[in-house]
Amino acid sequence: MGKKGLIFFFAVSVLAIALFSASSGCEASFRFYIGDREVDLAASLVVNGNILIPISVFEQYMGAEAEVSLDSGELKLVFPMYTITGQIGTSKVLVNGEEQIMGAAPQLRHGEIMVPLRFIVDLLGLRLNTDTRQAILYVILTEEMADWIASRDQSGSVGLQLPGFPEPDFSELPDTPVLKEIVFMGGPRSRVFIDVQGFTAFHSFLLTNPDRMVIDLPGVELDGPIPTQEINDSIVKRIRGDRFDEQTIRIVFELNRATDYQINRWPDGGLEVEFNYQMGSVGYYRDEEQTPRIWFEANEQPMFRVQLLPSPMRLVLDFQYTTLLDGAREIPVGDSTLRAIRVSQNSPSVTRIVLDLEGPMIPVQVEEINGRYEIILFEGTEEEYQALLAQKAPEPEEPEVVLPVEREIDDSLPLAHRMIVVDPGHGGSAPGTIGSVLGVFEKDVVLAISLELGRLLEENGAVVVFTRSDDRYVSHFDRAPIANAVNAEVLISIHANSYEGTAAKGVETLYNPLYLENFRFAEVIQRELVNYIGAVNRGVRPRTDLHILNNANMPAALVEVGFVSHPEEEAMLNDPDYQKRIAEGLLMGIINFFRDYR
Amino acid sequence: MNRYKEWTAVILLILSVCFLLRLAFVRPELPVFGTQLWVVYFGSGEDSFLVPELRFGTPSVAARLQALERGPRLPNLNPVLPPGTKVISYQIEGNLIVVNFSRQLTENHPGGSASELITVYGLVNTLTEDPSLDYVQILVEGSRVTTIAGHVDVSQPLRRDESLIEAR
Repeated sequence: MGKKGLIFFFAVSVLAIALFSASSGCEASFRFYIGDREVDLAASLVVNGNILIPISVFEQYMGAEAEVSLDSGELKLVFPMYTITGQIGTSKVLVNGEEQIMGAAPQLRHGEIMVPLRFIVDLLGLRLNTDTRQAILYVILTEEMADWIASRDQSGSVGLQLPGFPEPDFSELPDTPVLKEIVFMGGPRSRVFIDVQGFTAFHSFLLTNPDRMVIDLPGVELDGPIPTQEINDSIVKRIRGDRFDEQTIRIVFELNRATDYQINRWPDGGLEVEFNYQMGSVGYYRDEEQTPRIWFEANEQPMFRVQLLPSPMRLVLDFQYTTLLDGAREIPVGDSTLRAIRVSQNSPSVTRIVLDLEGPMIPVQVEEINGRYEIILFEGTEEEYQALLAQKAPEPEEPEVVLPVEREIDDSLPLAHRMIVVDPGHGGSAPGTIGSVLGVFEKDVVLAISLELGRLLEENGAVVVFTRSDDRYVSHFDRAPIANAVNAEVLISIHANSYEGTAAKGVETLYNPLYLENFRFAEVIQRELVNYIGAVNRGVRPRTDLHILNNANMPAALVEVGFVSHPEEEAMLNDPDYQKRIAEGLLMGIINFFRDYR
Repeated sequence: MNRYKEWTAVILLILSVCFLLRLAFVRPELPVFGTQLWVVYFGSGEDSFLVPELRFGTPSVAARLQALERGPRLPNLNPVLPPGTKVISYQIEGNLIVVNFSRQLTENHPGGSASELITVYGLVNTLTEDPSLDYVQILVEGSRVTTIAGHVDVSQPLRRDESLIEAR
C-alpha cells in the first residue's frame, strides 16, 4: 500500500468514525430477560458497546423508583441500596452521592430515557449473560434481588404510570422540534407563546445589566428567521431570537426589570412564558368601621396563601407568582392588634407580607378600590369569623308548613291518607338554572310541574304538603325539615337540569344511598317517568352531598326532569302539556312505590 | 510538494464532508417523559363528566388553582369555574385545603345539579390530586356558603369523588 493509499484509508476511517459518532448509537435487536421475565423493550440502543435500555424497565421489572425532570433532564433511580442521580447527556453520575462514570451517557430516544444496563447490573452485583447466537440477553438476579422485586410487584408500585390516565402519545410528534413563531399575547403577566412543534427541552435564566430573560432551546430547528418584536409593555421591552450555536436557539426577552417567570409546556408542544404579577406599594389603615385593611398595588389580583403562625403570632400572606417592585421593607404600625408589617420577596415567584400580630387576625375578602387591592382583615380566628357570619345571618325562621284542608278521602284510592311532601326546587330570588334559548326559569317550570303533581296526588287520596306553592324563596336548609315536621312518608324534590353546551339531555334521579328505601323510591320514579314521557334515561345517581336528601327522615328523591340547556328539551319543559305529562309520570312512580314497597 | 498539496486538499475535502454529514446526522435527543405529568379536571364537552387534562411541570397547589382558574387548554372541554371566578386565597391545614373564591363562583354559576357537581368536584378532585390533601373547604369571599347553585352541600369540607370522572 502506497502513501496515497494509506492516506485514503485514513480518510475513510475518519469518515466512518465521524458517521458513527454522529449518529447517537445504533438500534439493538435482541430478546431480553430479567430474572425469568421477558422484558418487552420498547427501545434499546448500543453506544460504544454499551446497551442502553429505557429507565422505566428498571421500574417495572427491577422494583426501582425512577424520577426524571422534564425540564432539566435530571434523572434519579432508586434501588434499595443505591440512589443514582445523573443527567441526560453526561456519563458522570452520583451513586449514593459519590461520583462514578458510566460506560455511556443516558440519552433520549423515542420519548424514553435510555440508561446503560451494564452499569446498573454491575452496581447491583448482578450478572449479565449473553447468548450471542440467539441474540438473547439475560440479567441474572440474586435471590435477594428477586425477593425484593417480587415484594415490590405485590405492592403494585410502578411509579411512572399515572393510574387511570392515558399516557400521552408522543409518537406522532416530529423527531426534531421546529420553532414556528413567537407570539406575544400580553395581559397583566405579558404572556408569550413560543410555538414549538414537537417536544423540546429548555433552559432558561435571568440576566441583569441590561435585565433580560433567556430561553435556550437545544436541538430545535428554525422554520425561518425570528423577527425581533418591540413590545414595550410594563414588563417586556423587546423579544428577539436567533441561533446561538450549532445546536441551540436562544430567545431573549429584554425586560424593564428582572422579573421571575413561569414556563408552561403545552400538551402538543409549545411553551408559554408568563412573567410575575408586579407588586408595588403596600400599606395599612383602618376604615371608618375600624376594620383593618392591607392594601397593595398590583397590575392584577394575585392569589395568596394564608398562614396564621403562633409564637410570636403572625399572619403570613404569600402572594403567588408576584415580583415585589421596590424591595423589602418594614412598615411599623403599633396598633392594638398589629405591631408591624414586613414585605419581602420570599422566593423568586412569591412576595411575602408578614403581619406581626398581638392577637389573631385573618384575611376574609379582597376589594379593588381605585386601582389598588385591599385585603379586609378580621380580628379573630377563622372559627370566630364563621360564627359571627352565622350570627349575622337572618334568624332561621321556623319553616312555614301549610297543611292542606281536611277532606273526605276515599279509602280505596291508591294513595289514600299518604302524607307526601312535594318540593319545587329554588324559587323567589333563586331562579335556579335558566334556559339556553327561551330563557325559561327552572323555578317556574318546576313549580308548574309540582302543583300539577300535587293535584294528581290529592285526586289519588294523598295528603300533600308543598315546601312552596308560589314563587318564593325557601332556604335550602328548610326543605327537609318541612317534610320531617309533617312526618311525610316520602319527599319528592323536583328540579330542572343544566350543563355547558347543548348536548346533555334527559331525566335523572338523585338519591342518598344510605338507605335501600331511597334507592327503591328513586329507581321506581326514574323508571316510570322515563317510560311515560319517553325521555333519555340518565339513570339514578347516588349522592351523599345533597342537603335535602341527607336530612330527610323518609324516602326522598331529587328528580331532574330534563335539561333547560338543551334547546328542544327547554321548549318541551316550557310546554304545559309536557309539564302535565311529567307530573303524571311522577304520580305513577309514587303510586308504584307505595304499591310495591309499602 | 505538489502531491502534498493534493493530499492535503483531499483530506480537507473529506474532513469537511464528514463535518457536514455530522451536522446533518446529529439530532440531539430531547427530554420527553412522563413523570412530571399532573392533571387538572375539567368538564367534558359532551356531557357532565370530569375529564383529566394533562399538564407538565411542578404541580404546586398554586399551579393547580391557577390551572382551574384559567380553564382548559383543549377546546373540547368546559371550565369548571364559572366565568370571572378568581381564587382570592388558600390556606392549608393538615390534609384540608380551604380555598376562598370570589363571589362569581356563586353569582355566575349557570345552575343545574349536573353542572354544579362538575364545578364542585372538578375543583375537589384537582386539588386532592395532591397526595397530602384529602379535604377541600370552599369559601366565597371569606364565608362558608350552603351551596353554589342550590343542590350540593358545600358548607362542610368535601372529599374526592371518582364517580364523576369519565370512564375510559
